[in-house]
Amino acid sequence: MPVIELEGLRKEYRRLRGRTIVAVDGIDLAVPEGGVFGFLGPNGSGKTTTIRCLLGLARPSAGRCRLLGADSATDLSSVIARVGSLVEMPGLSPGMSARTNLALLGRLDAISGARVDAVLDRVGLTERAGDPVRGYSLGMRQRLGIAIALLKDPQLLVLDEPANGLDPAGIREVRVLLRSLGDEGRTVFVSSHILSEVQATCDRVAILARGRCVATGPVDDVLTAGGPRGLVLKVRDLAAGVAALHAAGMPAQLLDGAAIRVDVPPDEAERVSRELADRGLYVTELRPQEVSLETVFLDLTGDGAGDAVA
Amino acid sequence: MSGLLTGEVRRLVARRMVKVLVLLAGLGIGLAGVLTFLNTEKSDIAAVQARRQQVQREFQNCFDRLSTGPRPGQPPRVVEERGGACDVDTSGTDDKRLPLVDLSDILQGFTAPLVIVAWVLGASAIGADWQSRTLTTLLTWEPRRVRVLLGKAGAAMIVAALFFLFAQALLFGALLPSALAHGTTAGADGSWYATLAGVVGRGGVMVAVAAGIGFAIASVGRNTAAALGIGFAYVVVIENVVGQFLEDWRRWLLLGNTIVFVSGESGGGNEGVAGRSVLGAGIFLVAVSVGLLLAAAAVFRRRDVA
Repeated sequence: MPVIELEGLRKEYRRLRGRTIVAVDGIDLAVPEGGVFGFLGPNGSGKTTTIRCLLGLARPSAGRCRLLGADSATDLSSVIARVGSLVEMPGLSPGMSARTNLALLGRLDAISGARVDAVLDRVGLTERAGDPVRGYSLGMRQRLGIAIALLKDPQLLVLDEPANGLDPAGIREVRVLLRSLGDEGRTVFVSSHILSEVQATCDRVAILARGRCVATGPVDDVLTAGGPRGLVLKVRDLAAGVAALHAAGMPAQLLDGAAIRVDVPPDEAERVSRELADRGLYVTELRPQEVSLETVFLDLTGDGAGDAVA
Repeated sequence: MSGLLTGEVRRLVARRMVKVLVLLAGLGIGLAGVLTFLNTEKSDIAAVQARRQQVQREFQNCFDRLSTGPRPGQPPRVVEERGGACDVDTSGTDDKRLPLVDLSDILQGFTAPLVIVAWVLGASAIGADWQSRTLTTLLTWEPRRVRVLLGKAGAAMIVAALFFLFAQALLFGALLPSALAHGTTAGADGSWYATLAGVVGRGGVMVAVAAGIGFAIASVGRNTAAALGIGFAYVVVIENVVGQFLEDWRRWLLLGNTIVFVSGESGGGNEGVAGRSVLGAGIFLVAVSVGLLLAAAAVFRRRDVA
């Protein structure tokens, strides 16, 4: 059974003068149990709105959301104890310490002080756990938000941009943490705009654009669907190589002045090599052009030319 | 629910605003206690009364002397005019004691500013949550919204009532040395203690009501300023305009009923509501607070939370 199900989820916001903004436009999505699921989309694509609807913070205009089989709009309280979440920057009592903030939330679910200390340790906040939260940096607050999400020892984690505000080391720690949580058998549903992190961390991914889900599936499948665009090769004389390929009827261009990109299917590698060799140019490196999640993302969301190379 | 209520009470008590209020109340009341002690003294009431009679006689003699010689064609000068010409020593006529029984009136008078503080505290309890998004975090732990809102309102009302009791106890404690050392305990019998308990009890209910109303308005308006603005506009426009021109409507307004309830006198005097009983005023005020809180809960139940 999917742990998250969205059926025709639609969310509209009414503005002044009767204008309506459609934030989410009929998303269908099923997130299977276990592993890390990346929820990608450019700013304003509806990621946070979808997460808010999932967690019962916003009412869908149409469609349904289910978390662990329970309807988010009517039955969320029956499963909320098994769902840990972080929606944007966590809202906390600034005059209280991290430990007290967590302890007060923990009281709602009879969570012990030992568990509070354990999650603070897991996110690396033990040393500052007694300090008032108002003195915390953005990154520390974000860690505390992750600690809040972990406090229930949840079966499902819904995290909205958990790496926001973190430094590179912090981002790496979060990546390791998410991966380990997914490997423990939990389901981690994480929205992010850091595509390389998603690519490195997630098992599956869904890509949102203008309120719609434009691709979903295992990360490798989504990348394959984007498909390699051509070949990347190196010869000693790059300019002569480009000219030779053009002469052979194969579109080619210099790639950052260090390699040549040939816009032919990868299975024509042999022909490319032969054409160059016939003109006295010998290939020193030849490989399919790798497609990054970023390339696919930009193609699918229509926000880029789709020519990024990993 | 107890976990939610306890947590919210602790969160509210940890707020800087509450700490500042407690500190200011402590300093202000402490200062008032010291000043009262310095300005009161143990007087011999029999000697004061004898002295007052003596001064009165001296004034009368002086007036009589001055009024014996009005000029022809002129009216007799009025007493006030003549008084200035009488240089009579009035020392020793002031009763500088602080009778213990006066404390019930003082505590009753102190209820008014505490009601305003409670309104602000109630409004701030939810207004700050809207701003800091702690409400969002809480809803990801307890999604039953009516429960959350009423739990938070209950916490605000409890903290307001506790602050009221703290401030009243502090004031009583600050004035007690003056009453015991420089005053009298005459009249402080069982009935007076019952009166005092009534003042404190009704005041406690009143501040909880005010906190509830402030909370409800700020909850709908999503910030503290909304409640303060509406409260100010209500007092200036509704109470003054409606209360002045539509006398019959006064029984359905807050101020008159508050005066009746806090004073403990049916009708509440000139500023109260004629014919309104203390119990009736209390029921009306509690009903307004509960009604507004239920309306706020109904709005909150359907609202999107950022």
